[in-house]
Amino acid sequence: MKLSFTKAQEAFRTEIADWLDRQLTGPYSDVRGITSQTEAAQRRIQWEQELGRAGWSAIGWPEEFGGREADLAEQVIFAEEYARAKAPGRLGHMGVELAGPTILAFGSDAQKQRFLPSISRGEEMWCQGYSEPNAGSDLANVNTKARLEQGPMGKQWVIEGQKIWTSLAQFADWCFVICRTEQGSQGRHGLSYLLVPMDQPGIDIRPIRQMTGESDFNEVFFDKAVTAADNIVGQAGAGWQVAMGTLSFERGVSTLAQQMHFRNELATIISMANANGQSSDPIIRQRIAKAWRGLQAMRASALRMLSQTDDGMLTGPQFTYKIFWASWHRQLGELAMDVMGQEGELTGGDYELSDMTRLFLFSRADTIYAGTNQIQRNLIAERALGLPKEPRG
Amino acid sequence: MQFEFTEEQTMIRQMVSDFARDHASSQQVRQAMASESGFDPDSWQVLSQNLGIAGLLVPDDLGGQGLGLIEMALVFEQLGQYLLPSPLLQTGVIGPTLLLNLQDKALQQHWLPQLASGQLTVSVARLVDGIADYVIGGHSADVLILCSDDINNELYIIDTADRKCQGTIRVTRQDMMDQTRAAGRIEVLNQKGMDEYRVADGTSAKNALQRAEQFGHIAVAAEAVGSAQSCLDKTVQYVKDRRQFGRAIGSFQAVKHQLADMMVHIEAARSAVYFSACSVAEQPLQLPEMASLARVQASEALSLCAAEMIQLHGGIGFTWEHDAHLYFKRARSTATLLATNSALDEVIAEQLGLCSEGVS
Repeated sequence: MKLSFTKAQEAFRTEIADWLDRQLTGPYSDVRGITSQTEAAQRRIQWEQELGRAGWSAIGWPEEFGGREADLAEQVIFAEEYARAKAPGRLGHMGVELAGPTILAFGSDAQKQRFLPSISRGEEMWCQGYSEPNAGSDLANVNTKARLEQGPMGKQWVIEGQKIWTSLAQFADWCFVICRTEQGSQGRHGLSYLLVPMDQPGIDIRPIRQMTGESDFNEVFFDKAVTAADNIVGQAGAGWQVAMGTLSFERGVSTLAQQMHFRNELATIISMANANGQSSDPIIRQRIAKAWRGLQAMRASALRMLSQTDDGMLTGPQFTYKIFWASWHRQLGELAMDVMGQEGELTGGDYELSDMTRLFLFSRADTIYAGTNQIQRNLIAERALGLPKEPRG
Repeated sequence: MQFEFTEEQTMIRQMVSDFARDHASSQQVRQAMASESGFDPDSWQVLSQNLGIAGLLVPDDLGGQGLGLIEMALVFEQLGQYLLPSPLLQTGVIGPTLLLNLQDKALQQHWLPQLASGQLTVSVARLVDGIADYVIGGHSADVLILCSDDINNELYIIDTADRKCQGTIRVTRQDMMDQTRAAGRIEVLNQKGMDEYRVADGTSAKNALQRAEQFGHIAVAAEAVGSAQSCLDKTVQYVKDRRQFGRAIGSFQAVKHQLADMMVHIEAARSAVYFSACSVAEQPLQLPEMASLARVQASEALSLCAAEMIQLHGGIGFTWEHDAHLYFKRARSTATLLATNSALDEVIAEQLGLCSEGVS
């Protein structure tokens, strides 16, 4: 095991760090450090395009689709430098990290040619159409339906139903949608994975105001929305397998970037504690030490996940990582509030939140989205520990 | 950057795993803990001499294997799965690390080959007002390395086979709740008599002891991860077998979720231990906070897992016959060995630059 990087890798680090620094102290200084998902969205779409032009948007992808074929270590370095430079959250991440890899793995050549370059160039934003009012933790219960019909331009899918908790739908050009294409099918069977353009009369997007006062999530209504017949990834009826593939791309690299962001948050808490004297409270000191330990454990866990071996002693965290970081981050929010005291509860006149107050509120969602803590525990118990499966209705 | 174990590391892990399987059954552990010395000399001989584990950290030219913290962590993780009492922590980690940090070639050449070969066992202890309590292996060690906890930080090495020392120190066994870590009290009877054993003092002695204990924290942490994993494995097996209400109790979500939480804590602790061993190997200056990271993370994981092991086993988990209490007691001794968890967290707090007095 080795944590250090080679000379060539360090040169790569310098290259990306310099580029980010030039951009974020120069033309893009206005988007630096933005942590809210929706703030300055149009500028951040321009930022996505800037990343794309310089070839930094999807560095792990093949060159023909706009990537650099960067290896794992380089992807790690990029993720770390991106967060270290306080570059804004990626508005394009649904495309770069979810839609793109899914199309790369399961899509046709024509789909790759059509979709991948526009994702890596930051020209088209994506959103994920998975959850529904009655398909949350029980994702296989989706009820949005699609059928093939003759349209003016040939055969097309016609979609009816509703998705919910759709992040960034208001900025998306495309949505990858799981829907039921076999009438009367149930559960994981009869689902398909469709790519649907967002700008059409059959789609209605309604933002959901969250407890933070902001609207990152949306309801998306499909009322005879259409997409071309060949905008299906994988076989009709095999959408569940494709969707699960998408979820499994979330491994290691992007979590390292997330950790750099966490590290910035912990550093903020430490300087607040030093500034207001809370740092001399032994209980606060212990809690900060514990938070730091959790952060180190997460970094090491991400590195273990990145190991490409079958050694169970190295790959264990792929099961436990989500619940660990989500629970840790929620506690970090609570710690931040305790360090700030009442001052932390102050908001702007339009309920604008400070970064730390937003952390406290938003982290309640961390243990819910992408598999609640309860679902994570079921997965660990059943898949990693081999305990009996939950009965299904 | 490389996230794999080397072939040699995997081999060492396998070798120690095989050893533990053959020498550390529940019956063997219980026999060893009931003995006067607190460990089984035959299995210690296999581990230290045949397998060369006592000399893992000792350089080749002094009779050891010249390996590092990562290999040591893998050894302790395997041994921790069983609770076999052995002098390895003191003789293979703390003692040699202290001597290696003293920069005294003659001392190293005299003692390290004997420790590396497993011929001698050693215990390192801090004397507070002339007394060192709860010293692991202190009652049975062939060699005692004692450090006075005053401003002079005098360091003494005493060969206990030399009858002359009997008027200078007294060594007695202390019976502890965790019987897998036999311990003793060392009392200085005649401070003047200590002079002839003094080998170092001042900052160099203090730093050597500190580093040795910090290495010890990482070894203890790795051991705790192994023990916690055992708690989980044994409990998972039990809840699959045990039936109530017409079904395996492992099918109840209240039970499954508890076991899932155990795994979450274990994996985080395992990550912390590997990371700390790796970081220290590459950046030795990080030793203080990395030692704290590993020890506290692993100690907390073991405490949780051992407690849940008893709870999920129900009545049988509360008996002397079942091994659950051995893990539970090991968890307790782990949380206070060499330093308390809160003292170790305080080391981290200081490293993070948290001001301890008022507004800065």
